[in-house]
Amino acid sequence: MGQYILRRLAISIPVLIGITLATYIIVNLAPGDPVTALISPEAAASLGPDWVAQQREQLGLNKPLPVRYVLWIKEIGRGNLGYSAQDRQPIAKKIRERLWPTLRLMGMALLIALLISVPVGVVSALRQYSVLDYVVTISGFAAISIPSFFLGLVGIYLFSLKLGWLPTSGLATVGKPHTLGDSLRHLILPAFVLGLAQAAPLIRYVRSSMLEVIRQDYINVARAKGLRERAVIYRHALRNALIPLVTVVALILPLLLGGTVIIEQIFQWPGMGTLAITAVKGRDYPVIMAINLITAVMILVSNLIADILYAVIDPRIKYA
Amino acid sequence: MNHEHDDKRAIGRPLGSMSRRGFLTGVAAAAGSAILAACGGSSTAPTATTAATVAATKPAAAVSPAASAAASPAAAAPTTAAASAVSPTSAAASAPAAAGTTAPATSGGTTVVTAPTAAASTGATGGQVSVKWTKPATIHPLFSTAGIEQGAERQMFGALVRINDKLEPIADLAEKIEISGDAKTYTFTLKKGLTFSDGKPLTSADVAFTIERAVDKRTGSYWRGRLLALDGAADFGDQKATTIKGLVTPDANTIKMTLTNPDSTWLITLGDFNGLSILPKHILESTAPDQMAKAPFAFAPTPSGGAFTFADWKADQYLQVKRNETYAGGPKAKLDSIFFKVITQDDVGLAQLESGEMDVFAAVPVQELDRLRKNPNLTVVSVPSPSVTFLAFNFGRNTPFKDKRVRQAMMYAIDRAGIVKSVLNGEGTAVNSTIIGPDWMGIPEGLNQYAFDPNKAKQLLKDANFNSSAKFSLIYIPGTKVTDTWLPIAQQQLKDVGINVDLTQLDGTEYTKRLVTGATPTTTGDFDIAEVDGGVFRADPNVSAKYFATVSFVPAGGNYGHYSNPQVDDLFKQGVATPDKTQRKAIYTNLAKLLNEECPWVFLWSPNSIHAYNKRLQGFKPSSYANTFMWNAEEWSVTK
Repeated sequence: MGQYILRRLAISIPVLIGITLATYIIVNLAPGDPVTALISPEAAASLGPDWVAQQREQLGLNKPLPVRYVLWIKEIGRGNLGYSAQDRQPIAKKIRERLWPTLRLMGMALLIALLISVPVGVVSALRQYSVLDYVVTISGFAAISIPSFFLGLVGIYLFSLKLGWLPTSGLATVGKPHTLGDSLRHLILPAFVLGLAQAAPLIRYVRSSMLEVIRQDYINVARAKGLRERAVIYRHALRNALIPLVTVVALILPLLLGGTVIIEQIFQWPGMGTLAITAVKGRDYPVIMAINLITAVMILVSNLIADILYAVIDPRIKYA
Repeated sequence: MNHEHDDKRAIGRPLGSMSRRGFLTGVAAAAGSAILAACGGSSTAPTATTAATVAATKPAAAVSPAASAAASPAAAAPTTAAASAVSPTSAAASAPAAAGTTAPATSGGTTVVTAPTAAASTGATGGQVSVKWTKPATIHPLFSTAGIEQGAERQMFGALVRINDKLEPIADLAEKIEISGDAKTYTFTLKKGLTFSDGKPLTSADVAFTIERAVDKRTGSYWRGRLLALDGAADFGDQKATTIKGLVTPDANTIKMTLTNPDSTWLITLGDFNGLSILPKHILESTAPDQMAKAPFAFAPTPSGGAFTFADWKADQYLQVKRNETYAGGPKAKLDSIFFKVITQDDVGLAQLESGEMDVFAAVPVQELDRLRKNPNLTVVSVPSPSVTFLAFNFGRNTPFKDKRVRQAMMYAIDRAGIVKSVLNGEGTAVNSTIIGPDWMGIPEGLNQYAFDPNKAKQLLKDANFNSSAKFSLIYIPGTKVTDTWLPIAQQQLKDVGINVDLTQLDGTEYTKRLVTGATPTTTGDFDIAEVDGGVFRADPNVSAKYFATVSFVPAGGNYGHYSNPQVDDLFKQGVATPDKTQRKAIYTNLAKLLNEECPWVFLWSPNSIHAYNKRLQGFKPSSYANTFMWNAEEWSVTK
């Protein structure tokens, strides 16, 4: 196992380089540059071409593409993520500011998704073809189809504007002293909308996995032994049914840091998704590359974790 | 069997001595505690002081208003705050009369502008207001290019001159401004006892420092171009001189500026962008000019010398400014603090406005007007904006639009008044030239109104031998509901007369490139027609020079299509040579007629600016002609 891990890690390095190289080329192919993205056309006309040229010079945009890429790799090697082209702030600082809100939102959403999907999926599988099952599958289908921003706006309209139970958006109420309750109240709606969206595919996973498991022979054996149905389900069927779910969740882990653009925009949540979309709109190459690198690392690591977990949980799996 | 026992131990124990169960329990415990910690903690606690959050303006092009009110030697009618009763809600008792411009007095060729005497405001002190803001790139006064950023900076920093709601320059930190008769020398006398919020005095040295850094080429400041009018500024900026010849500080309270050429609109330039904010020399002089954009001051601009000071900046969330207790430039601000909340989607901002989490929302989309008007907690005001929506032609390529008749045909073909009525809900006025204000100029009479007439358009096109099979690309930036609605209507109306236009959607940077930065002094950008919203035309008729004069060719000016007409150039030159308003009015009336006839653009309309705010806010005076709606935020107060 140890050797397997080492091998996987060793392969990750060239994969990462390949990913960053491909991203760098593609991002630079997009029209525009950070300077023109920063200012309105009127401002560009007022400032004149000299200013634009000077800004490009300061940002190092005049160097040829391969040179810029190599310089960037060197900085990364030194542990320096670089400076944003839009506001000249250190990127590490920008990311640090947004990590916590992102983790909170995505973590809570994942928790909600699991809390919804596991029981619902299990029940739906056990009572296959019942009314409940149909209701669940159809609403799951609907939940996957409805865009999350729509769900978010409906949620805001219903719970904030009409009922007044929850605040519309933001991390916390400005100007008031910070409390856990205030924070949670702001977190509920976005986390729930996101959780619902994530739960929909998870329900289907759990359901189909459960269906497969309860048809296995050992379940019959367990029943034949005289175990109560509840013991059969929880002690034997569920654990085995959740194995594929573990893999799926491990693959969702990179999202924990990646954030989600749409929900963050709707709920004005200062997360990594907002940072990413702002960087893309503003052609902020250093930030785009930094986020890309972090996401790639996260995905590689979580894939590795998923594989290891799988081997740990399922004794039938072993790696040479 | 024994064999299976051994296998079990080997296979089932990839983690050595820890059992599978133990491992999984450990992971579950770790994840659970992580999530609990996530719910419980928050590192983004806003400060405990209650503050007012104010919504900021969208970055409408607030480039160069050129209201030329200050230097007129003729007795200009004093505009007092009472006269600026544009906002219907100024009936509120607490509206102070501090905004009046005192009439500049002239004696022996010198004009003197004095700071307005602020009447005691009757609003209560305390409370907070939330304002809608959009994401700023920086809040450093030297580097801001967008109106929203400057609106916030204006609260924190003081300036020599700032612009009021009538787009007239009024003295802010200066007590007195003397303008020489030839409009070349300006002498500023600072108010007594000015300090920064850290207690250090604000003197002419700080003013000189700010201007020097702004002019310095290495800084890369947006202000450099404007300040090059100072004598010797160009040499200093290129580091050929160690001081600016035309900037002299005889004592701690006096600044004397001498311009290379006479310019009666110099105060407008200084007051532009909510005023040239005065930076603290004692804090910033150790930062090298080329490091200024990166310095921490750019996102934590403290200390400052304005009515508010910087309190907190949470990226992508809000900027908080709080009342400056040591402010000596006038009466202290009423509000405890103002929160500028970053809003990226209008829907989100409107939801916050309706739920009470936001107090001021500027630049309301016109579709929301009716709904917001019905809300009992909100006041909605609509004022003419200074900008114009238009279609620019590219004269740099061989197009049939070079024929005046084709351009006039387009004016007749599009039902501009109808679109204003239906798409803009009547919130706007169709325009027939860009000479639309300010008050002393008015809208000239005798212009062709180009009333909607497709038959006339067809006739003109026939006269010009227009080829109906040609297709033209019209570039624009999608995303605004109004624009996305009226463009297809106009496209259809043009098609009805035989002009085929393809609507090409571009994102911001590509649009800027094709319109501005891709052009050279001799070639235009890559477009046939461009839809543009912007300009500050209502501020002064000379603003139009930026778009139609030959010297204003892109990329160094706003003449996107490289339109060139010697008559037009001549009239613009005449217009700035004299400060006499009557003469100027006559000149610009002729100019308006010429533009109206030539139609270098399809002049469409000037939309209104719509602001909505919570009724608990007092003292809100929407600038009648600009998007700088926070120009008097120190007078704002809230009822509980």
